[in-house]
Amino acid sequence: MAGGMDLGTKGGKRSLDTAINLVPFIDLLSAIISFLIMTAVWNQIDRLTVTQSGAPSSSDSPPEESKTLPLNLQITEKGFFVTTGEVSYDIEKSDGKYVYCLRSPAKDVIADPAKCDENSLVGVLRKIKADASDQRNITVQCKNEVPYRELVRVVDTCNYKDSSGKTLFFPDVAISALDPN
Amino acid sequence: MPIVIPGKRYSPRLAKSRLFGSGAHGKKSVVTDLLVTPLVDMFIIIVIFLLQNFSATGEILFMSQDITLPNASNGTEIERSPVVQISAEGTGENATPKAIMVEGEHVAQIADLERDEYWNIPALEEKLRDIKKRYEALHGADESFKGDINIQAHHAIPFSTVKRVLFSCNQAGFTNINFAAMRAGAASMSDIPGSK
Repeated sequence: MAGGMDLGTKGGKRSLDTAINLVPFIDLLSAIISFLIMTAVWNQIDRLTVTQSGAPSSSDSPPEESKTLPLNLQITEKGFFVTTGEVSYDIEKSDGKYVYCLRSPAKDVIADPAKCDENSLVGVLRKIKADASDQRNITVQCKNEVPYRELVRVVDTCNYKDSSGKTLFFPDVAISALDPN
Repeated sequence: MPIVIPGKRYSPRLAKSRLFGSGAHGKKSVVTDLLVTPLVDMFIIIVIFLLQNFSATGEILFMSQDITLPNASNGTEIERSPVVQISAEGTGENATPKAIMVEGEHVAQIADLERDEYWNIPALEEKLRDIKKRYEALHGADESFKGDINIQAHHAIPFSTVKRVLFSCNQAGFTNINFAAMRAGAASMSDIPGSK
């Protein structure tokens, strides 16, 4: 029967099962895997953007005229010292470590800023932000002996984002070259 | 000489064998098909995994053994800009600044700079000015110079070294500083070896 199914009643028997030749497919997959492994970048590197205090801003948008506090954060050998012009906060080290969120931690991880100690960097920044919600700028001063990682972590904390990606604190960080007093 | 049918001709001893010769009762094929379906499945899973992790931007920084980057969890994806590297020798808290490089090319030795009383690093400044000039010559007036620069520094070096590098970058016209950091999910900085 033309166009119908071969039931194998006429002539020689012809099997309906056909095996797909997988060898070219395997060759293709092997080539793709080799290429992807060779070109893979395993390190995920991010950037934290800062400006230098006093340097002209290179951003396209002109600076907004708004009431901002002269917010200053000093990193010294003793800990953090935050001043807003009127109020100052002294956050001393705990067990030789800078206190970012928890004063007596197993691991000082900022899991939830609302749960951080009041006398921690996050606690103080949260308090300042609650009083000045429009504030975006912060100037960071650092002692010469302070390790670079602490500066990066402070900038990272200032850029803290919640689960929706909204920055909670002060994302416009300026680094001052002046030594804190 | 008898006519022999073409095909395999075994020795008299093998001709009587059950496996090869006529001594076998039933014919048993020695050819077996390899089951490739699980292999193909595995390959597909590997390809999907690698494609998900594929980065079209490639390596932006020059990775070096002497530089262990600090961790950060709130950064943005790094972009291609000139890279200033500050390497260190030693491990943990004992790491001391070693050298400054621009785009992988050695520029200055930190030990030589410690004798200087001024803040800027002339060799670094000169190199960065060259890069800026090259950028302006290539792009002309069509595209304004943004002054982006990536700083790739060892996590344990003191701020005094970073400060001099930042100052030199600023003097050369690179005012938009990007600190390169390893992306950390919820990891703490105290996880870094030597930070305790």
